[in-house]
Amino acid sequence: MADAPDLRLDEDLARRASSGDRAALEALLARHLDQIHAICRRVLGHPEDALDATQEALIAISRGIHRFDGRSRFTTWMYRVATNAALDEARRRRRRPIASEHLPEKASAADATDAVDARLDVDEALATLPPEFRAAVALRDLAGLDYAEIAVVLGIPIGTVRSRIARGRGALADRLGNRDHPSERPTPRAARPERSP
Amino acid sequence: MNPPVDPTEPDPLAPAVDPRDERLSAALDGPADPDFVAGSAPVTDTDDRARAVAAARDLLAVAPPPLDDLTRRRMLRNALDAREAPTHGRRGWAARAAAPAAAAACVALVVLGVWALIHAGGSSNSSSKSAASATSGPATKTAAKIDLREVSDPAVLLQKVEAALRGTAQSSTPDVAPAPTTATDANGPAVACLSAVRVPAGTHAGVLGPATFHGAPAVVIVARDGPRILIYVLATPGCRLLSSQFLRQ
Repeated sequence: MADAPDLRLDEDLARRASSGDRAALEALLARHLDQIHAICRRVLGHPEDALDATQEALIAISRGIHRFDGRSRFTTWMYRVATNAALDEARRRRRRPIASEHLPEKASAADATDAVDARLDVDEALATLPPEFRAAVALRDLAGLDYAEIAVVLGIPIGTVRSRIARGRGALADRLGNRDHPSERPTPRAARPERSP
Repeated sequence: MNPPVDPTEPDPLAPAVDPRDERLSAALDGPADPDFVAGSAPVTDTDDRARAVAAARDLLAVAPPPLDDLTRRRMLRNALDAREAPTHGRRGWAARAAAPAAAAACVALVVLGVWALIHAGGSSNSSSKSAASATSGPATKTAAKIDLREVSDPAVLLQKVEAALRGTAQSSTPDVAPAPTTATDANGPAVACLSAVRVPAGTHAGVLGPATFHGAPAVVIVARDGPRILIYVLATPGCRLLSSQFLRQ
């Protein structure tokens, strides 16, 4: 979570941006771009879709900052915008035919670095869950929001937040458990969300 | 703002969650869970499942790789410009990045398509296709025209393909070179990769040019799919998919 000086800087930038200060808006977006992208990437599990969602979130913030009234933290509002952009993108992805499998990270896996392998594990484990579950996990483990904040961002009860986070972690724990038993490990193709040919 | 939440409302998505996982997970989060009571949910290091859930939590906390500077700058510029611009509905980041090039690309594709059709008259037994035919029409025989060099960076790949489709690659993109004169012969493995790319029915894939991916030989193949130009990077030989991108118009 951000510390107090960070929060004060965010609120100051947000206030100036909402009154039309372009430089403040740029600084605000630049400060949080990577975090927005991380949320979108984790919710969508797909790099290009995450770029689209990130762009949409940035534009939504840019266009909607004048409506930010400061009653909640800027980051809470920002995470809501980012999560909605990612979930919207996920819904669009379900509807739209995809030309071919997009497996850019599989190529990197050929290099078999631990980091890439771990990222594949995360993406593939989470791919078995609805994006709304991935959002709860991302908001907790990437953004560091507490359960109450996640409940506000996602508009769900705290108990649901708790169970969604547990489900996400449990799915990944299952996958990690299968590392020692490769024959039980789902194939990447099977584990990925089905995409139209 | 989201509507008020009914705390008793069941999760409509609700796949089964192991109650033990939920307890272990919540215990890991401690005070982040408002119902947490210190000491109420002990997690021991000897518990395999507890360790697995904790390891999962640690892995989930690792952020994806940050965006490259070029992509960051483009996204910020698009967002700031969009503030002043009227709303035209949703378009992806790649489309916003490529919008100025799209019109020029269309013109270039038409010209290349005509050129390809003319040259197709002299060869009736080829199965290879050009980038032009991929985006505009029937299969024709042409060699890859451009060596795209290193394309492992997604942003660089997009930039080079945009430049190549504009037909200005040689003059405006220093890291793109004319293909060697033996490109036609060397293109055999590249052309073979065309059949390895699964494109939507009714679309044609074409070889844009040879490239390298993390230094290894590769080929860039493009295909038009409605408003999108699909871009594939495949290893040569072997035709293993290394990367894929798309531009939207």
